[in-house]
Amino acid sequence: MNEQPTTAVSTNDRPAAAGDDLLVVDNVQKYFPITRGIIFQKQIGAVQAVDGVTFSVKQGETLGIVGESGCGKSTLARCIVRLLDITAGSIQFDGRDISRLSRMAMRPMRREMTMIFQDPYASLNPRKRVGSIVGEPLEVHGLGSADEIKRRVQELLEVVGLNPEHYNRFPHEFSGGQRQRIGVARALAVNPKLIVCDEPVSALDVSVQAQILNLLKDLQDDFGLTYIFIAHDLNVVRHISDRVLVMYLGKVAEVASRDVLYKEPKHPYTGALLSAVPIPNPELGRKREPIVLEGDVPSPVNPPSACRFHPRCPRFVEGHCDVEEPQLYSFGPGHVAACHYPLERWPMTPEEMRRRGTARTETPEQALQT
Amino acid sequence: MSLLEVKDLHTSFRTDDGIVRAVEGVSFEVEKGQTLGIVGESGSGKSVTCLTIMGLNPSRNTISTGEALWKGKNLLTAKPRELREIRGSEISMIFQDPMTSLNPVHTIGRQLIEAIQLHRDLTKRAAHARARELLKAVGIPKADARMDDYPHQFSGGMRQRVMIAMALINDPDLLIADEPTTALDVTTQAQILTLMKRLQEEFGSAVLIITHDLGVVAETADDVLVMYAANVVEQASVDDLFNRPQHPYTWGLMGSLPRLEADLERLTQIPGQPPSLLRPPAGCRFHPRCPHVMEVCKTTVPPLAPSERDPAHLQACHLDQETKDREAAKLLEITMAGAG
Amino acid sequence: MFRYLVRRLLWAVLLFIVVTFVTFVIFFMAPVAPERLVCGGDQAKPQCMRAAIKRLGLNHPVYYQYGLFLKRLVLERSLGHSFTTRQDVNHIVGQAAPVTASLVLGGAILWLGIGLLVGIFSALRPRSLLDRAGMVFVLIGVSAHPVWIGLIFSYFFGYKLRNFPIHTPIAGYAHIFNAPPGQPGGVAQWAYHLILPWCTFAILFAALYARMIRANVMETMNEDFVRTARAKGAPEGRVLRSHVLRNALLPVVTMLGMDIGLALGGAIFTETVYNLPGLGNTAILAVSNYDLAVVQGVVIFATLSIIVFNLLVDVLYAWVDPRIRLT
Repeated sequence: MNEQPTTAVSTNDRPAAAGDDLLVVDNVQKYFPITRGIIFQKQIGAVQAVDGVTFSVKQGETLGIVGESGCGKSTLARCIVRLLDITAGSIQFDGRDISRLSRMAMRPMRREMTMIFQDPYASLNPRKRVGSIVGEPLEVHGLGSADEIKRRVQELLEVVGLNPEHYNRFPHEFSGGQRQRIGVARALAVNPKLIVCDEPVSALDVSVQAQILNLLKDLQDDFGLTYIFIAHDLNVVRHISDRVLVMYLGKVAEVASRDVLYKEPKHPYTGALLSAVPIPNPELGRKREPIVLEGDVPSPVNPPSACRFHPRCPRFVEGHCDVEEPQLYSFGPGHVAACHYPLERWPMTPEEMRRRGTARTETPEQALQT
Repeated sequence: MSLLEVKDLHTSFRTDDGIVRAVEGVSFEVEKGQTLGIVGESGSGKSVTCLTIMGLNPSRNTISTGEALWKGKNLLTAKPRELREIRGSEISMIFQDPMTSLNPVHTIGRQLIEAIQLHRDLTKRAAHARARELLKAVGIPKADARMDDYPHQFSGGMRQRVMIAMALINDPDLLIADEPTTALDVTTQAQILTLMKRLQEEFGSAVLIITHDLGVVAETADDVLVMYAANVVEQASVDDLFNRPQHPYTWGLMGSLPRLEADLERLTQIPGQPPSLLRPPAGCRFHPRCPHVMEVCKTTVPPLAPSERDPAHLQACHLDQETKDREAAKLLEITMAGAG
Repeated sequence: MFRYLVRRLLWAVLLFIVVTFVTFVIFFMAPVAPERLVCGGDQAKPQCMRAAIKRLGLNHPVYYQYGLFLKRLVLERSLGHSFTTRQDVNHIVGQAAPVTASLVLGGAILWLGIGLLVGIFSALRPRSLLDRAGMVFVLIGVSAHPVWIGLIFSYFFGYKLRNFPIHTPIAGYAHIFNAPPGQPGGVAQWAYHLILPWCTFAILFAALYARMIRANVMETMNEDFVRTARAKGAPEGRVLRSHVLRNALLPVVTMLGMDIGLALGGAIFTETVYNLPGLGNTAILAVSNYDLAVVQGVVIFATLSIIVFNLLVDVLYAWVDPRIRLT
């Protein structure tokens, strides 16, 4: 099963070889303007949903993006597939800058990257049959005759573990997990290179969630897919990702390969997130003391100065963290974190967390050389 | 005498499609100061169980039988007036979605004061003071000033704190928490769980926590009930349940969980979907999805009985003890792999 | 709040100009010579017509005429004179407005009362006999035309039952204050004369409101915060009053503002059936006489009242719903 599904419509050429950067997101900003005025609306501020995010995704890998609600991860997903126009920065897909493409020029690109949404109940049109939901992207892109499309759809249904006979059923006849499978089939229909999964299992029960996660992994192995996997659940992200990016309030807090991020987090926010996850093992749970952050995530309309995490950070240093914005310091190959006072080790007790270490002072350029 | 004793509770709903048997034969006890967790997936009947105890199911199409003895008094047959006097004062409840559980057109203060004055003959001023005291206790910054704010002016985590304040305001003996952190972010969840633990020590209430999250159960509960398709399939102390799970559904749940503390290449998934409660399968409800299914499972409902190893550990499965021990050990090995 | 009001007022001015201008243009295109109407129709004297053309600016293009009209309206607060009767339009509207206002406001109170009663009780006992009866009433209310209802009411209450105490007048209007000599006057007579028009007028809206309120109340009963209130131990009556109704009736406030405007149009039928000298009747008469001045007067008055009602409702809404912050 190492081939593309063999039909008339699977004709994607794949210039990017495994290991190359398929997607490069460079300093992307997305501000939503806030306007005010009696007749003429003038802009008085902006929701800084995504503010200067940079990362890349290699062909064939899974990048997990994790963060709490309001951190901008869903906005970022919508910017990547160009459902939203970005305010600044650039997005290169397969070596091509797509951040300023017109709607028309973007159309062929929509075959290359598709999306799976969170709510399997809301993201499928209730008045359409499964066949036309999954087949629609093929029709839109004119990939095959009606017969070919039907055959392809049935094949896809089988691939995602649904009965191809259910081609003519409506979404409401399926359970939540099965609907998410339909969503996966739809995303898969046009043989995309990249699938952006926006919280694809958050609305599902644990046992069904495991089915979908396994399915996504199998599909990746079979078709060499690249995923951006967005979720708030650190367990899920850890399970599926090769590399993980932690977002806080529109900015990148930390990026590292999965094992490094979960075993040696450097950013205090990553540490707090990891420590907040309840462990389904009472013995282990009793041994540790969670690091509980104070307060709520601040508003992205008026974010805190310098390091956006400073008002909640246990190692906040007055006069430094709230004045100078931390760059992404390097902590090893592919491991960066935006913190002046990174964690020395992990795990840590709340007490150790508050005892801050020495500040990173070198410039990012120096960091990259080391 | 236990605080709450539920005996053979059944609840069904009449719907247009037929009768949905949402809870079938649930029994448990809650002791003073104890935390009992009920864990299960959506549709397992865990929420309905608690709403039945509280008498909060819509009366028109619900039939409940069995007993729910609160300090010896059966809540299912209690008069509405008696039930109202218990609700909110002796037993109180917090719900899953803090965004919708507070009335949007009344101030926080007014809703807290209402909760007090429904049960206690306090002056407006005394009630106001008590409300402020509780808001401070649940860690709401500038509690005095926030009494006159409306729910939409609070974040999700803060609203759940307000709900907790409201639930504890009359010093209840039992707090029922229905998925109290499901709608919250992890860091907020950690705040709320820590808060609940601290307040339980302070107020000494027993807690009945309902959740689908095994992690939350492991961190909060003393004893756990596992529910599947309207039935209790396993009941044990939290350590026993996690170290020696005895039911294939519990194994499935634990195996399908992605974990922070262990490396799993592939999740053990439970095949298929939970059954419809309109037409549940015969015999053991779990048999169509069970990897260990035997002929007897398809016809005979396994009773919830003490396990051979430990009489306090209840389970409802036909499998022999050796298989159960072997499977439990296997599971433990997988889930503890790489754990420090 | 202040900014919001200013913005709404500016919009209202714009709306006002557009509505009156459109009315103006429609009459401009009608195949009729206003100067002939003004001077008495077929026997109009040329001298009189020349004066009228000059006074009304009829030899100028439509926007000039409109400007002239606006100028008179703003500077002299005058709506001009009727083309046919030479009466002051201010006076005509002033005479007709209280009649329509009595009908619409009284009707609104009636329809709200019926709508609330039927809606809430149906919602509390869905599928009960009461609920089903209520929904039959709704079906009749939305299906039957006011003219037909009016005729049926007139037939029964005015004719068949004329020897019974419930006999009611089927035509005419009684002023509360300063009734013309020889005619009935005072509050009692006013209400007595309006009973049938009110009922006729209110049935459609009462039906619509009953249906809407029923749906809203039933939806709100399922809200989480209502369950919270019950879990606190609040008795049902309190749950309904303090938690359900306040939330369920919020949308009714908005609806009311829009519907009172709409109702001005619906009032025309009722006024016709019961021969009430209100704005509707006045407008119909004026339209059939191509009496632009009077039509324009009625349009202006109606537009202004709709604008005022909507503004009132918006302010009221912000007051009852803390989530709406007007900026």
